[in-house]
Amino acid sequence: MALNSYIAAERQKRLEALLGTPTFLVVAGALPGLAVANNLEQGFAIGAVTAVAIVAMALLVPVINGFTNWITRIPVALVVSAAVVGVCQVAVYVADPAISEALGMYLPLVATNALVMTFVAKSTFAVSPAKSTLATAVFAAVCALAALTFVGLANGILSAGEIFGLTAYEIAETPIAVFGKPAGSLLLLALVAVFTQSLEGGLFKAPEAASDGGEE
Amino acid sequence: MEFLNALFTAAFDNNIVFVQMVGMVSVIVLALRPQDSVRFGLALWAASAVSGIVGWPIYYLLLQPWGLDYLAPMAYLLVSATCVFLVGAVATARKPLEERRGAMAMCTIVALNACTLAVPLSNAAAGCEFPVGVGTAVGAGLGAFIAVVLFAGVRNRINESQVPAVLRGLPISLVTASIMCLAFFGVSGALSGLFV
Repeated sequence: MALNSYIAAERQKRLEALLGTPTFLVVAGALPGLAVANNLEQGFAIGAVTAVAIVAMALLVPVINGFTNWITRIPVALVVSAAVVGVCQVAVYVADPAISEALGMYLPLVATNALVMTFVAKSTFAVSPAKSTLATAVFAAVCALAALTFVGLANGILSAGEIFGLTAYEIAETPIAVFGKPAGSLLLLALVAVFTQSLEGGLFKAPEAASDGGEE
Repeated sequence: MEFLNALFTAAFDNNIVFVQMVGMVSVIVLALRPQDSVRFGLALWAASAVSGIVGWPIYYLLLQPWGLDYLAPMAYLLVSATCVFLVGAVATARKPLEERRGAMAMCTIVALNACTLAVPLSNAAAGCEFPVGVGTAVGAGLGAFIAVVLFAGVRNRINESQVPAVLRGLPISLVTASIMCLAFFGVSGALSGLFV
């Protein structure tokens, strides 16, 4: 059965409402690194790589668009993104091999996310008053770094009771240690999303009028 | 037996979306309606399986013998994106323009999904044999399909509920994802070793 045009239009409207917000930039930038943001150092490392990759791809995608057509654009952009992240991976290894080992396969995965963020910055959203893809990408990069560092810090405190290398008290055996797991990291990111959404009305464009009940 | 064990371990115990937290951006954005989620989940299943199956010989027969491990992410992304777009172009060759555009948009989303890179990377890191690698690839895709469909179903139910204003939109989606992570964490270990 063909998709009803009204349903397709409604779906597109919901997608645009979801993607065209600063909260989405914060969440989408931070989500891929969430699994390895288990302490402050790892959270900062994966956040830094994500930030550098997003800004680098925001600068490189217009260049790539100049010499590719619609069918080769994505594969070429993906390879370039992977190369950028590969360089960042070497930098992390040189800075701290233990952190590079701990981040594992999640470092190369930043490549796909950086490209996604660049396309989102280009097509649906621009932060006022900059209103340019690069400014939006820089905003997304800074937010991803801040969010992942915060999640790493909180995970380190709640799962191991460690803060800045000092062990406050042993809480790994208590139920709150679930925040060290992926489920807890997502809850922390939800907290960050709530905070960002609460700022949206004041600092950025006003959100759509709230409907009665439901997710929208 | 190794194939089945790897398949079920990858699908449930080590679910790529809700345990390894890979490809979650696409799931949260695209799992809006259950009907759309089935289509997207099937595409993701196929792409993950193909990228894992094709990635195994690329790594073990080409990259590793020549000491080119550092090129693995680039090789995987190039090959999987090419396969995805090739299949999409062939499948919609004689279809109307609108359908071809929709298929290419879906191919773009699938090619940009981190699952297509994570599956061959984890196979390479595990150092497994080919049957286990195939089982892991197919199982990871199956796990992604299950995760997408389940998440869309739960989200559909949430749309019918009264959600506090501060949690509407992405926050409630993340809380939902968190609870689903806990659910998958709870069933981990139930199926591992079942086919040993």
